[in-house]
Amino acid sequence: MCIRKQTGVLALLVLVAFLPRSSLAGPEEDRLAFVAHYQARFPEVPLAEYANGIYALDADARAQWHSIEEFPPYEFSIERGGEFWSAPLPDGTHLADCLGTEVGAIRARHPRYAPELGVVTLELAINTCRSAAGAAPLDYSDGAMIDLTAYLAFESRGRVLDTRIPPDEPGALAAYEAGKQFYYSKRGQLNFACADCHITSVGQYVRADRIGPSLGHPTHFPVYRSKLGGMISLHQRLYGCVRDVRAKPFELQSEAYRNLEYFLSYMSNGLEINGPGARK
Amino acid sequence: MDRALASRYLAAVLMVCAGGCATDFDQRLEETERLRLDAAARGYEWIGTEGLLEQARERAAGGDTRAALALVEQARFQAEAALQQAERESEAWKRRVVK
Amino acid sequence: MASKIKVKARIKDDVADVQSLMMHPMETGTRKDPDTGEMVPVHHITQLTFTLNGDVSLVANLSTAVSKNPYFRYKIRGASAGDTLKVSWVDNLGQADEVETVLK
Repeated sequence: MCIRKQTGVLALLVLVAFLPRSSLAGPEEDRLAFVAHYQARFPEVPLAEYANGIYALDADARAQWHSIEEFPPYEFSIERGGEFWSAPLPDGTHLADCLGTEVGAIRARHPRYAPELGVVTLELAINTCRSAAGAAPLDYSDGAMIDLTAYLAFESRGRVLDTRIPPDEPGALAAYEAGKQFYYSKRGQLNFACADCHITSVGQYVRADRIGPSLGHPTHFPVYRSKLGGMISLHQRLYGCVRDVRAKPFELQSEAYRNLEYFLSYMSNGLEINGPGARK
Repeated sequence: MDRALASRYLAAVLMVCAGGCATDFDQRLEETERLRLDAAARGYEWIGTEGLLEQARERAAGGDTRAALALVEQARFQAEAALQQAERESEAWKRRVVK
Repeated sequence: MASKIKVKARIKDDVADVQSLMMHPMETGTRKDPDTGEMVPVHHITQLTFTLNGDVSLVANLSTAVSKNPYFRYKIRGASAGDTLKVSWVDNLGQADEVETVLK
């Protein structure tokens, strides 16, 4: 490099070194690198399409999905969820009294961080509200919980994920980092990290399924699975993945999965919420 | 893991322990259970380990000590491997982060 | 409880493309309840009927081969906006459901 260019580069480096750094530099850098990686890997896929998961990459699956979406199998779930949402709690209050009356804004606000609870997912928020009103918490694999989240997801369609890591809450960044570490750590007898499939092997086949990218994963849950003839939540899918690499799975809504959801959600910031989804 | 392999493990254990460590089933079981709980505490327990130890207890109760010990050794392999994995991954994960 | 049969119909030229999704467990009778260990009794739709303006346009005799929450789609010529479409089913336990919709 000629001397003038070298000096210029040096000056730029010095300048950058002294620029004010927000405490979110880490996660935001992570996210930009994450997105850039997938975009370099699949240059023809527009960023917004990642909200559709594997359908962004697989034309045949996408065609099948479009015909399912003509009459979505999750419509009954949304309806039941709406009824559940309007039903009064034992003390006469409603879920809207805790979570807000603007239904479309609720899903978009989660996951978020609260110092007393750690990462608060939508499911945890629902059960926290129910407990405060004297109702028994819903089972996280129960139809009622999934129907509720299906309804709230549907109402939030069109809004984008905007996961926040408040700079004045050191616990929030720690939770994000814990989720990130989980994502990249190999585990189980099969010694796989989430990244091994969902970054390294995206688009490749595992048995009869093509592996989808992590970018956009949280946007479309809960999901109707044709295989089950029913709906599953994101944590049920995380549970299944951990079991499938032959590690002992963690409990639904455990700290491990909530931190992981926090990380995954942050990575997908800016993508449109399009739940509930329909998958194999 | 098949029985032939488990038997080799058992033989290896007996050879290594010729100097005088316990081949007593109960002690081996207890040690392995502790290793399993260590792995669990680190969030790295493998899915099959607890089941193997349960089967080992059942076989021992049924009088088949040889089979019981073989199952304990399989469980021990899993628990030790899980702990090594936890140790390795505490640093190795950083190398996989997309930059 | 909201309607257990959903119908969507699109008319193009003279042809109505009718899609329906109906809630029904469609139990084959060969499945075991995972909690109780007991066999889940047979319970499925036996006959599904579509009528257009009161005239039967399609009858389907269903059995154990159709899975939970059947989705059914067919096209019928000679339909126009304002026609009344009715979807109804009966099952082996004598239960029934129906819904009527006016084509647009």
